[in-house]
Amino acid sequence: MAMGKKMTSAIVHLTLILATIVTIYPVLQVISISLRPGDSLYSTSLALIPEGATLNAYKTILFEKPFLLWMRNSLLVSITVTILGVALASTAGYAFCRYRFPGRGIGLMSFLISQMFPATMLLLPLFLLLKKVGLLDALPGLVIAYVATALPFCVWTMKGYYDSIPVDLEEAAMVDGLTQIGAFRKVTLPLSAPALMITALFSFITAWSEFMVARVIIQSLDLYTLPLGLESLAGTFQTEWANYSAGAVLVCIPVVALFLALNRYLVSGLTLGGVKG
Amino acid sequence: MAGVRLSGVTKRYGAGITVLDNIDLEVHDREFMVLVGPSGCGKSTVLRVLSGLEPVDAGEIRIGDRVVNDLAPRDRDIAMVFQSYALYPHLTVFENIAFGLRVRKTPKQELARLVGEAAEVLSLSDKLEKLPRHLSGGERQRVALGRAIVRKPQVFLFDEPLSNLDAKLRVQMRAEISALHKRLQITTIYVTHDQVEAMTMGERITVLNGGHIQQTDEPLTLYNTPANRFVAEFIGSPPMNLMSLTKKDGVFQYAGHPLPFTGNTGAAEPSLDTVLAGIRPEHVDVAEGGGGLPAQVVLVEPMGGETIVYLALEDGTRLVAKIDGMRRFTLGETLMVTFDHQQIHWFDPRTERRISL
Ligand SMILES: Nc1ncnc2c1ncn2[C@@H]1O[C@H](COP(=O)(O)OP(=O)(O)O)[C@@H](O)[C@H]1O
Ligand SMILES: [Mg+2]
Repeated sequence: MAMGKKMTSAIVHLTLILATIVTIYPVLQVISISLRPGDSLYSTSLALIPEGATLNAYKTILFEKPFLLWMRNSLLVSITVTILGVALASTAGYAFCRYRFPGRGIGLMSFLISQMFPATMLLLPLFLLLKKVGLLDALPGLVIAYVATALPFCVWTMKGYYDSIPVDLEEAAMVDGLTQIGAFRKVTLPLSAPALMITALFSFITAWSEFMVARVIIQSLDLYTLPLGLESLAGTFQTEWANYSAGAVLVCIPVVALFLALNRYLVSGLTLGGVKG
Repeated sequence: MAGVRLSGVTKRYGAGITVLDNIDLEVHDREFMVLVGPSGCGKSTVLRVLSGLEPVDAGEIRIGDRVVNDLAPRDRDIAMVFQSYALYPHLTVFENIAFGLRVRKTPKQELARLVGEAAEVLSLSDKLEKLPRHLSGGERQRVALGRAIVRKPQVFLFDEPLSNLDAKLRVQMRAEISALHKRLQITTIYVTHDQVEAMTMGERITVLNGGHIQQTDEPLTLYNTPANRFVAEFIGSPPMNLMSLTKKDGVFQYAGHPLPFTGNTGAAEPSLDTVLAGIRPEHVDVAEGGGGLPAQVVLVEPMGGETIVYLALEDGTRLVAKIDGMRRFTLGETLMVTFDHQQIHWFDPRTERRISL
């Protein structure tokens, strides 16, 4: 019995350790490359911190390339997408959860179905739509595209969470003196913090790391977002690998910071089912 | 202070289901009215239409001298204690109780004073900073009460507030809620499926079944003169015995037996060939010999002060007798059953209504 348990535990841990290594190795590799002095992608050295490590690449990226401009564009787009995503998903999810209206079932189902197609399939229709409304090569166009792709998941997340909050609470708040909207704001929304965090994070990351849609919609160099900018560093004849890697590391930092900051909510958010009332 | 009056209130869910059918109910100012009935009979729905959480399909609802049909819950000046308590999980006990006051923009000092008072009355003063999930069931119940009383509304609505408590706490809270009502003198409608709760707490009781009001009366009136078979069987524990009697030779008889009660029966509705006789268990007596109906002892429940004896008549009909004291009975023994004939309730078997002699 005890042996069996120990074996299971050992196997589980071994698997986890392997998975962790597989996940972390490329990241370490990128960091390592970003610290190399030359532009050598391939090096026989396995040292994490390469010989003659330097932060030159970071300096180059930050001050000699329009990295800060890309960062500004990306932040602008991602933050707008996050705000819109949270605002729309929290209200739409509420409507889907609490009200019965014509088209409710179809609406929920079409959100789900839209998730079954790869995003690339949306490229052409998105392009045509944005062209029609004159938002090609403009950040608002990009925002609309990202909100549209993030929304189905977010609405489902919010709806699922609201479903787990007893209606009694809102009714008590209404008897206590609030309107339904007031009850939603004062009771349901604060209780939905974990789901709101997931929605926010998902919206942000969707916008932050997206490349394909941006590539198609954005042409002007000064509207480049980070993924577009990074890609432009990979030249046709020669790629400045150290700069490229340094850029990649810098791009990751805000996302990692966000994850760490919201970690608490995420954990409780992912175990939502068990937490009631 | 205000009375409550429902006139012809009808509530349907969808097309088919009529949950409340033409309800007329008057609750006097300051009265403690208990609404009792089996699960699913529409008790919660009465509270929900009263509080404005559900619209009615027909009829009029008055609180005080206002018709409130079209008022939102927040404008009806009522407070409701939900069966689930519905405490706000993200707020402390203090904030839970203060919620309604804050919504009404009560000045800070008065708010603190009112919440403090309510907490004092409910012995919650040392729990004010806790979150609901750190409270016991009884404490949560008190917070729910506190949230209701702090606002001093015109009407209290309670929806089975004690059903989640254990038996001992239930008895204690029963007394506390009654005391609270005596003190605050606020019109109260209290819903329960438990007839003991109804009998012990209600100044008047309304019995509801299948969306219809069966009877509204004071507890003892309800017990002594149930208006129909349903009320007779629902109120009282163990429930009233019911026997179907057939008229033979001008006298009602039970299964061919000459009846132990005579005389009065002949005066029942002459047009009836059969009647239902209802006899409360405490009006059934058993003896080891003498006259009466022979019956076998099936089960004995000694309660200490009294003994509940379950009997089977010769045709299998079950009877329950409540015998004072601790008499000993043997399972399977045959006893002779007699009834206190002054205490028999008569019902028309077709309408199930009470008929008098
Ligand atoms: N929203 C609803 N939709 C359809 N039927 C409902 C709804 N709410 C309650 N009912 C039905 O109405 C009847 C009365 O419900 P309720 O008032 O909650 O009963 P009680 O509180 O006496 O147990 C039940 O049969 C219940 O199934
Ligand atoms: Mg109910």
